[in-house]
Amino acid sequence: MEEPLLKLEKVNVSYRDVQVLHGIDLEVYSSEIVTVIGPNGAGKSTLLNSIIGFEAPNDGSVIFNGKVITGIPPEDTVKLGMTIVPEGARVFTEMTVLDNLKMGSYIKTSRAYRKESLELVFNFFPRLHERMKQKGGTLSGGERQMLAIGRALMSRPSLLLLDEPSLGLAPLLVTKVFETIVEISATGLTVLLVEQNVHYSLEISKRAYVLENGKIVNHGLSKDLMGNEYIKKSYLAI
Amino acid sequence: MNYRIDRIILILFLMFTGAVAFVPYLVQSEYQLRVVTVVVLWVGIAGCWNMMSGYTGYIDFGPVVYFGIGSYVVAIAMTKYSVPFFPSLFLSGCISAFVAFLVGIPTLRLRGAYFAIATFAFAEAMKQITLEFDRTFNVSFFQGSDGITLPISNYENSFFFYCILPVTFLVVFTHYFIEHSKFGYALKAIKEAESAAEISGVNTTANKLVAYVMSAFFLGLFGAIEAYWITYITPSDVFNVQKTVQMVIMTLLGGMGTFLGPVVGATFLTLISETLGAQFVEYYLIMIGAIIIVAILIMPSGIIGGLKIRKKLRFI
Repeated sequence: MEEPLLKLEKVNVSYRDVQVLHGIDLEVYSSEIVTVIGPNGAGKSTLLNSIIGFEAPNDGSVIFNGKVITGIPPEDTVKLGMTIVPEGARVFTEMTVLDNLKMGSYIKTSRAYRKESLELVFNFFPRLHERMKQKGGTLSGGERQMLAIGRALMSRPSLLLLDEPSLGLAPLLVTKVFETIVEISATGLTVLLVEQNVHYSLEISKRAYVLENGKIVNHGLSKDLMGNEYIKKSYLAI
Repeated sequence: MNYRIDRIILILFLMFTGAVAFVPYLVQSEYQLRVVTVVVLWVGIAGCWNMMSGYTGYIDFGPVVYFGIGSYVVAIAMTKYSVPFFPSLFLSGCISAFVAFLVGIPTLRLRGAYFAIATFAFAEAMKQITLEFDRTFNVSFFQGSDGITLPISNYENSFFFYCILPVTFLVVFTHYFIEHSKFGYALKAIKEAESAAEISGVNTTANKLVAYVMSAFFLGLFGAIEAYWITYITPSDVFNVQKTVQMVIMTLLGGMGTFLGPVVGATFLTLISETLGAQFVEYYLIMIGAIIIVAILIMPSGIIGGLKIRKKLRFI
């Protein structure tokens, strides 16, 4: 069988004395969209943070592209070809949209492709092209999310981590963001998505993990999970 | 388009520096020369603070420590080891930079107020060390509160003016380099959203460290030159927290994180305190306080900062 692009083995993460993640096993294969769903405070963001390197797992290992990357800081994991769209977008508010995007291609390997990457991003988000010279802080919530995704794409990642991209967006924009994720994934990019919007994320993803109280309680094909009675009851409110 | 304006401003700045270089031939009195020298000195010192805190947003409340270290290195090298001035000067910069490197590694991991507190504490600690070291170990090295008298030189004020001007020029030119480099983008990214900078691949600690060490190097040079100029230093003088406050206020007045901010702020503040100080000996500090308050109220982002926003200039 094919090797997974990203593999987590028995990952434990604690904040001081409080253990947040308990023995997480997770696999993401090349070119698929995988989603992690779960309620507030389940540890979804912590999971992504421990992959990108904001948090160092106390135990277990994170393997990316066959390389153990456990505890490597974000500025180095980015160089290996993964990046994250952080929760709440975190754009550089005092920089122009263009400069924000350029910051995305800060690392050497992606600088060479800056022009093509910019074209690609403007193709996905024509709105960003219109607002190129505006400051990041003047954008609306949806545009900021686009900018954060665009910035992430500028680093030419093979794996894109998305932390709650639909957070705080109007329903129409939520649809737009999810459509874009599908489009991006169609270019061959692998996506690991963390979402509270279970309905949409199960719809666009191939496989899903259910994270509750820091443990993976269920996983499988998204379409199977959508039919699962427990998921229906607790997350989809059907 | 903005790049062209940037270029013009740079050329104007170079011409201005060239013109300033002739000041010693134009002044009518030694007093005027001293004032101009002090202005140039403070432009440089405020610039050092701006280089670190203005761009990264990490508020350093102890930059004076590197000024003081520079003063002490030059004093000890010249008096105890009879090293000539220029090698001592260079040594001052290097030792300041080296200390900044050692201090920066742990403290630059602190964020927000913790960094400010740590740097402030370090500056105060250094003052105490130089004060008490000799008494504690029963040696004569820092000479505690007696201070050190440097060898009196035959140099005139213009010599010190020409020592300070190139260093200040280098400081301001470093700002130009920062504004136009990847390094500058990294610093600004750190200021705005440090975690987002990290996920863009910026090694935040290394970049902050470079800015911190550079600023310490120049501060060490300024400290050394001033020590040789004044010829007498004491710990409470060269490590005086007031120097830090002045750097901060000058930069805030001019505009934090801008190229010309410290230049304008330091010139403005030094000149008004000189003119007001000469005329209203008793009240001038109150007046300066009021002027600062009014200036900050009218222009919260500083003189240059406000101009930058209004005129949509990228760089000045």
